[in-house]
Amino acid sequence: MRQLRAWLSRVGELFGKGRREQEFSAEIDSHLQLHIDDNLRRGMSQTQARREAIMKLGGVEQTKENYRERRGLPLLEVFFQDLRFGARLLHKNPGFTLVAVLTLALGIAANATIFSFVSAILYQRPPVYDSDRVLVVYGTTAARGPGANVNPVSAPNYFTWKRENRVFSDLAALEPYISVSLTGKDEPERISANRATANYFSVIGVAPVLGRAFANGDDQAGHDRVVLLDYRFWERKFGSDPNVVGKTIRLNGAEHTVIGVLPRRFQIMSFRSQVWLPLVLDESQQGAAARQTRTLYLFARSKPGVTLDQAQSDLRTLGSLAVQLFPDTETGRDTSCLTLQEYIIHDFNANAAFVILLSAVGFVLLIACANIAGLLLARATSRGKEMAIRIAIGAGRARVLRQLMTEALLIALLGTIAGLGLALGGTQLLHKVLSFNEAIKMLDMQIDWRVLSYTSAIAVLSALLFGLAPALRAWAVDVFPTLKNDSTKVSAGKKKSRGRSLLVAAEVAMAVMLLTGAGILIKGFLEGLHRSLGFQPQHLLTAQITLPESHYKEPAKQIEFYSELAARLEAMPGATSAAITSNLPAAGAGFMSFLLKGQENLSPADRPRARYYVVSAHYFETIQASVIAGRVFAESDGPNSQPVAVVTEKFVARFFPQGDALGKQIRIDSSDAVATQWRQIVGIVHDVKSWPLNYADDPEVYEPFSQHPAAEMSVVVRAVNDANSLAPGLREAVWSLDRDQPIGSVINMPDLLGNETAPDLIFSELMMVFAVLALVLAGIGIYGLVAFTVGQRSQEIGIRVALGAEKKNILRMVLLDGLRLAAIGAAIGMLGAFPLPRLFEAALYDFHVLGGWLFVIVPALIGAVALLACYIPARRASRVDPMVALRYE
Amino acid sequence: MKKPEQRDLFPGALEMMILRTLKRQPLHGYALVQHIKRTSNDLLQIEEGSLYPALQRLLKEDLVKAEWSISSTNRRVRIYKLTAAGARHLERQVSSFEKMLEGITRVLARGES
Repeated sequence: MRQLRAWLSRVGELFGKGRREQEFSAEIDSHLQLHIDDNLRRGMSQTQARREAIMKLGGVEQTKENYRERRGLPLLEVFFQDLRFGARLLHKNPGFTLVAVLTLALGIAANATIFSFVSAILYQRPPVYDSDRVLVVYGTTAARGPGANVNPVSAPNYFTWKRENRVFSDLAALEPYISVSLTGKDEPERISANRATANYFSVIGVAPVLGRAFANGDDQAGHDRVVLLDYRFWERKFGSDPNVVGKTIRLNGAEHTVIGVLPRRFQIMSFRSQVWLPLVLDESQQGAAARQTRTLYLFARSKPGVTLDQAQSDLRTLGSLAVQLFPDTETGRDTSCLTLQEYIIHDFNANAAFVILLSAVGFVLLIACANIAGLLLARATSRGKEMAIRIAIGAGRARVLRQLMTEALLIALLGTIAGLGLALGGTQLLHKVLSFNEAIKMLDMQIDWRVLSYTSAIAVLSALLFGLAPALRAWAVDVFPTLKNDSTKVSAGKKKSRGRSLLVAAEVAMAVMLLTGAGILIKGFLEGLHRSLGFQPQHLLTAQITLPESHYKEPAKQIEFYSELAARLEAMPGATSAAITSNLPAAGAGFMSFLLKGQENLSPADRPRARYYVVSAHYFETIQASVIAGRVFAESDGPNSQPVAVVTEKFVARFFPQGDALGKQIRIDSSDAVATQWRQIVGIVHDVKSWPLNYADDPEVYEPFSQHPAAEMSVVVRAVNDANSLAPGLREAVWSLDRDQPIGSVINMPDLLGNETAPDLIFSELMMVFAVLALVLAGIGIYGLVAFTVGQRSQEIGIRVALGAEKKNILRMVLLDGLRLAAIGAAIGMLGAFPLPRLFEAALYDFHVLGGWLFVIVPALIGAVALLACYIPARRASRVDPMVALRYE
Repeated sequence: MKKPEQRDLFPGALEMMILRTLKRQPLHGYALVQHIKRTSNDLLQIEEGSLYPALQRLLKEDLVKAEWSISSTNRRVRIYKLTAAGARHLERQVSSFEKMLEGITRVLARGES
């Protein structure tokens, strides 16, 4: 009880502090006075009496400090006192405060912005019920591709696993990434669609906001003309009509009844779509064709208590069982599962980029911290006397340390507030820049509590980092020399600036590493970009067309439509030629396995593979890919004539090392029902890049469209001038053939290539921004140190000048001091940057770039910045007027 | 720099002496010091600076109370008085101190023989 009362009175005293202090001062005064009176009575002189009294008391100020520590709540009170003092100091030095806070704010903003993006991806909760129990089951293959190792599975496997598994309470199948034609409502339109089994929405636990989800029977053939709408699609196409349920829309030429609208929040990052249709699967189809038709992703709800490990091991068993039973189609394939949340992260496949970006901004923050530490150290030097006095009059060293750390925290606090303000804009900017990616566009990127806690954590860490050096300096202050010395010193002395020199060298080293890293990524991007595409993208207009099955099921009809379309497009004024292709050039055509004569007994997994295109007669002429040997396809290559194929140089080099490809036979494995025939290789064309940034060409093989027609094709038209001016004519041509035919993304080739390279470009640009930031900060660091040293040495320089040193000698002396430091830092940074190319090669898919000239340019750049940063203060030093400098005292 | 309050005394000794002195009569700080010195025949040199933090502690714990008044030499002084709680505290302290002293004396006496 008494303790409580004592504590309360202490809290009270936090406020009544002024009165207390006065009372105590009065008491000490009266004590001294009484003592002096006594001493005087004993016959001492006034001075002697006072001196004796003070010595007996043991130091007035120390006694006061001792007394103060007894009183109040020391920690809290001291903290407030330090805070007030720190705020006053910052207020008194607006220049210092501005630079320190701004520097830190930049570092914090960069980190908060990147983290908000990373955390939005990593921590998004999928909009499904009890999401930890929702698993995605997918296939994996032994080969490593550019994306995540995630493959769809076949219907026979779905049925078997649904029946045989012991870990899921239910399993549903989803066929994503399809598109359907929407007609009868405005212009015909191609919209994205997902097909799902009837139990899908009950497995993931999502209910529509209007109407109902799929029910049993919806996925039976003949009863499947129902559709669920995405919320945004419902807003856009139906103006949020509340009575939409029961209405019909025309999809792929057939009426579908709208049964419901899905919630606004329901968009799963990897599986977005505008409409949802029932997935009709036939369990009796168990043949090789059904096994090789892999289009499904399976969604499971795990039984209560089943862990992810258990689910994965159960699936492994099922997967290996399939391999044993169906070695022809299942060899080399495995299956696995992840929770939906983990799957999305895995599928997004950007962990390496995340790590690289976060390290880059981490470096920026470290450099910012080093700068602030440098500023604080500079101030600590001029505050050495203050510290010595504080310690001399009774402040404990721990107390001084605490005060300095409080000041550092205050700077960190201000920097964090400013940084978060910047990050607010930064996140919006980043989100906008990244919105070319539809998945990122729907991400909720904001400064949430995760970003705030992360930012606070790095801010405190930064404060510790940059507060440490000056605090240690204060700790080690030698009271008497500091008090005695100072005013008489002439030169700053090497020892005093050693800490700062170390910081600046470290800063330069980090900037060099960051610049080199960013440089390597940019160099890789440029090298990929500047390698010849193998065709001329200028003046090419492209479009996507998918003929609905309802009208164009027969191959003959497909051939008829596309041949006529190509003819009409070529006849357009302003067009020189047009062609049809299964895949646009440099747009990532898929690999297909094939056989050469004499290899017939190779199992599918062991067969050679090449990127596969189906193109019409004028394709190579249209994209202007040059022919190396033989001929390309002509109108004479019809459905009934000799099957032919064209291959690329790389194909010949890889599979016909003797170069005798022409006339040889090839059989391309086809995923669809069209019979695979032996074809004769009739021509060799120049390599065309399979992606716009590829470093090396893949082997490619072409089939004529007339011999392997399909419903889903792309169109390329070469214009005389502006490709975009052909767009209306292209639409007109399609609709004159079939007015219900939707046209997907009409876009000119350079724009398309730009979209494809956007992620890499933005990644490189982000890295460049951070590298430049690092460079600027390091420059400021060098400047700060040199300018400060010059200020400290102005007397020394004055003496030198007075003794006859020339201006250029002074200039050289100061310049060399700064440059030496930069050189040491750069050398260390180069050592650190040396393994970067190999590090990136391991982390990023298909990335082989050497540092090369970067190892010359980066140090040169740093050197230039350092030179500039040193020159400004050096020039000032060379102009020092000896009279002014020496009279300074 | 924080100094230990009783360099040559055991913990609580200074407080005990202050309380004992104040029990006899209320005194101001300077008089307290002089009194302790005098009565101990200058055997105990208490550091004057450590007196006030000790007084502060006692004030906090309500063992003494303080009042401003005017000394005989016409100086403004702060007079410290023992409270009832202080008197009880002193009694307890003294008796436990005596027990301790007795124990120490016995051990020392045994050691000598």
